[in-house]
Amino acid sequence: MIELLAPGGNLEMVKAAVERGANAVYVGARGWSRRRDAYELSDEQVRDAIGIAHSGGAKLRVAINTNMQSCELPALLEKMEKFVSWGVDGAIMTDVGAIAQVHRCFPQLVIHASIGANIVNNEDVKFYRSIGVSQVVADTKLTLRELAARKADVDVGIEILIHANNCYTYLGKCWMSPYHRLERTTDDFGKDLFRGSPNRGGLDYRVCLEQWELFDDKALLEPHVALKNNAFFYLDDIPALIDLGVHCLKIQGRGYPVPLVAHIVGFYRELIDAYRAKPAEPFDLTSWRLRLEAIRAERDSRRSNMTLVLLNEARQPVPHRA
Amino acid sequence: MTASGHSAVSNRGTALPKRGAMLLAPAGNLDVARQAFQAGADAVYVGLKGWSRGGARGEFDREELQQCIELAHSLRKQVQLAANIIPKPPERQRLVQQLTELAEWGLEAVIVNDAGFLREVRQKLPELAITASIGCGALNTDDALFYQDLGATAVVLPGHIEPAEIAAVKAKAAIKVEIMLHMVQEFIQLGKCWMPSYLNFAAAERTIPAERLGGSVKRGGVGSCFRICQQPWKLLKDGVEVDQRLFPSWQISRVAELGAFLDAGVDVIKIQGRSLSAEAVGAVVGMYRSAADAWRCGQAGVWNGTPLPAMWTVQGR
Amino acid sequence: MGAFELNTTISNLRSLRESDLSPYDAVYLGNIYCRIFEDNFLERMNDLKEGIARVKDQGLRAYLTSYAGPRNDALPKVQMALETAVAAGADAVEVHNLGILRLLHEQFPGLPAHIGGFANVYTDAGTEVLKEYGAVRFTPNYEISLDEAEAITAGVGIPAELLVHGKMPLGVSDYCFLLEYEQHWPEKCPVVCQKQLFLRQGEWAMRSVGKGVLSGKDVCMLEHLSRLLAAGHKVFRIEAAYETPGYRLQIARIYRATLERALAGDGTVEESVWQAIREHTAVGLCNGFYFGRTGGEYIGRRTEAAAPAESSLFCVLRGEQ
Repeated sequence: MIELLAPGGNLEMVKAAVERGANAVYVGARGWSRRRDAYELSDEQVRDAIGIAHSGGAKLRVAINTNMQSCELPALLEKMEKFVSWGVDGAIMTDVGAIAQVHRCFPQLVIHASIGANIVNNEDVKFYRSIGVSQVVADTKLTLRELAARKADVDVGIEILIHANNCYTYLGKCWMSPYHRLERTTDDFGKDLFRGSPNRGGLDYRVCLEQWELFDDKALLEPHVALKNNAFFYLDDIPALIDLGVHCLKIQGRGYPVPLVAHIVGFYRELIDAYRAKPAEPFDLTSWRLRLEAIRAERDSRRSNMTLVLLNEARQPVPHRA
Repeated sequence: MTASGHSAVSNRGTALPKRGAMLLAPAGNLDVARQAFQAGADAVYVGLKGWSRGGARGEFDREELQQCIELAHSLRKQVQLAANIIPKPPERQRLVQQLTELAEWGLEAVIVNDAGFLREVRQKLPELAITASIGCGALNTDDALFYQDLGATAVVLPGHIEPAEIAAVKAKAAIKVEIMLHMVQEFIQLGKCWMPSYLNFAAAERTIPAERLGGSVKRGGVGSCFRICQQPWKLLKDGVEVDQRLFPSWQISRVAELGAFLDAGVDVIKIQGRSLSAEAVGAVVGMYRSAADAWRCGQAGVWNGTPLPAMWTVQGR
Repeated sequence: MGAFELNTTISNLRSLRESDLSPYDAVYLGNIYCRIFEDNFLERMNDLKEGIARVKDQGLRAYLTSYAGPRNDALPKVQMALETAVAAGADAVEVHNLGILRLLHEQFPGLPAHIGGFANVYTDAGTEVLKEYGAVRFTPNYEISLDEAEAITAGVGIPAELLVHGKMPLGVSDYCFLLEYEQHWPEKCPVVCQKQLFLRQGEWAMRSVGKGVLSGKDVCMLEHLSRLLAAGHKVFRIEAAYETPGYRLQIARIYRATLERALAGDGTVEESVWQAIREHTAVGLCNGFYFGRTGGEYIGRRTEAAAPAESSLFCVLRGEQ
């Protein structure tokens, strides 16, 4: 049965997602996942999240999917030990070394390779399988054909982002943001937050969405160009993905308001259930399309606001470190 | 996963309007392909030297084809290969081999003209999307189902089919339906004519060195169709000439009705003309793109009813 | 290897022929961003064979590079390029993608792997894994500091290759941004991405290469070469794939001379070279990431050198506003 995976940016969101029918929820360990720390959970909160999910019949995964520093790996393992003892169902990770070490220490723990690992071909999948990964999040640029080939060629669980954004670059292969602004701050637990680096700390300034001028060594060529970075909702492809037999449909959105996320989770829960209930009949997406438009409008407005906030923050000078 | 590959799986007969059809343009060379993409085509179809109908004009060699595939992917768009000749038995293996290599390069779709060959390609290359060419002569729902059973992902219908007929096919069949809305409608249905080789087979029998054998129009002979129908024929009654005429043949371009076809659920709008210049293709594609975009926004068609200039038609070749 | 290795990347045979490689010790052949980059070595086996021969004939080491974002359909060609590289005697292969590393390790175990900057090496533990897969050196991800890179070299025991001058890769895509605009320009693909194209907004600037983005400023570690040598670093990259042959030659000459001076005990930089450095940069200089700071910052004494020359387009445009 296909798994619907929802984001948990805070405990309220975890609760709402479980109530709206998510089969699993993922949360970020504060300082260690690809989101700013405001949308991540403290260790105690992760414990509570596990409780909430399990009592609602759902799984709870923890994202520790930044590329941390070499010296931080021991601290990571200590953290994982706690999570494992509390019954966490899986870890979402990116760094090759961190994955290898976590797998060695906790061989029973299911490791999911994050979108940040930029796994784009079948050989990549096999590489990550060899170090202990059992499920991979598919890069958003892969086509249905590539996913089918992956399913056919490699024994791995496939997770598809059905609500996320499609950056201009491959996710995980971009450091435009910290090139323009990097703020090194340490949180109360000694973790460097790397504000500005999506790979290292999770807070990304979306500099790609700035209004760029394009010019060559002689003149201005285009006054206003954009590096595409669009948020999407999958709809037309959902039946095909279910038929293909992917393992998990993943909704991103730890940074959005809880009611919006609840709406999105509920929508996809109903859609998946409706499709699976009548496999032999023609499946009419019209009413679903209309419902999604309303959700999309709110999502777009929130996202634009956040982009402006981030671009503004990116222009602030970095405070001097003592 | 079904044997027919990814595309059929997503078509559980959604009989209601989609978000718009794929706009598929012809490209005789890389420049035309580029122009077509810029004008708004979602995909282009091209011929590989020696293996498509229409002959040496407007075909790509392997390197150009590879570049075209990469160009398309750089734009998140698609290339389809028209391998729509009917291969002679000794040639089939070679063509399958070519397709296998091209699939490794990233080719996602092929257009074929022969039922047996279609089935063979389906079996040997399960990843490839296969279109039953307009030359297959499909006209109705049963034809569509026939090609669907063989493993085709899509079937092309000629431009004189009406929207209601498209809807009827879509209601019963899961196969993608393409319609060639911009084409020269000839006296004889496309795919069912072998007048040229009847009259002058020898001329069509030239070979392409080291590539493949020559043959009739349907076999993609070099020199191909020499437009027998467009030579003036004398009509004789009792040995006396009573008339002199060309076989009827006219350009259609049903852009004004695009909305109706999109409402009916057609999957692909196909434009004929691998022999057209980049400028011509760009213009036609641009027109269909505008009309399709207008439909998506809920407006009526933007085509203002001006007839196409003669230079835009394949007939002018 | 001699006391150090100075290397660069060259995308095709034409650029190779045009370039004076005398100040270099090694060359990477191929363009990692795009399969249809003009006459990309990675797609043309005869050119690749000839390229490797030319490089080796000049007494340099010849390396093959490979794509930063290879999808399944690129893999057969990658395989072919690896076979050609082996047959032609290439000395190593640079991999930016772990799938290609795996392929290399399984099928061409004799060919050493250099881990490239897009492979996202951030930790010693990660580099250990890659070493098991045949890596003999690594380029740290461009974001990490020298301290962090040195923690890896110390812990894992394989050398780091460091970008010391040139525009730093900032991102890679499968989508060519320039194809949206080329219809207005006389230059088209595959020539258009070789133009000096910059994205700019206020003080921010980046270089577009179509399917990739590079920093607008040129990384410059000229003032810090002594420190690098003292820390045991020996392999230095000059990124010039999208620069002129003049840039490729003159920058390398400056770095070679400065490194040799440093090895001889003189850690200073010749005053006259700064003029040439400034002439070869449109936006300015940077090296912030190496020092744990924002990438676009410049750490060093010659901060005025970090600003672009008055004649550069940036200054001219700024003046007009």
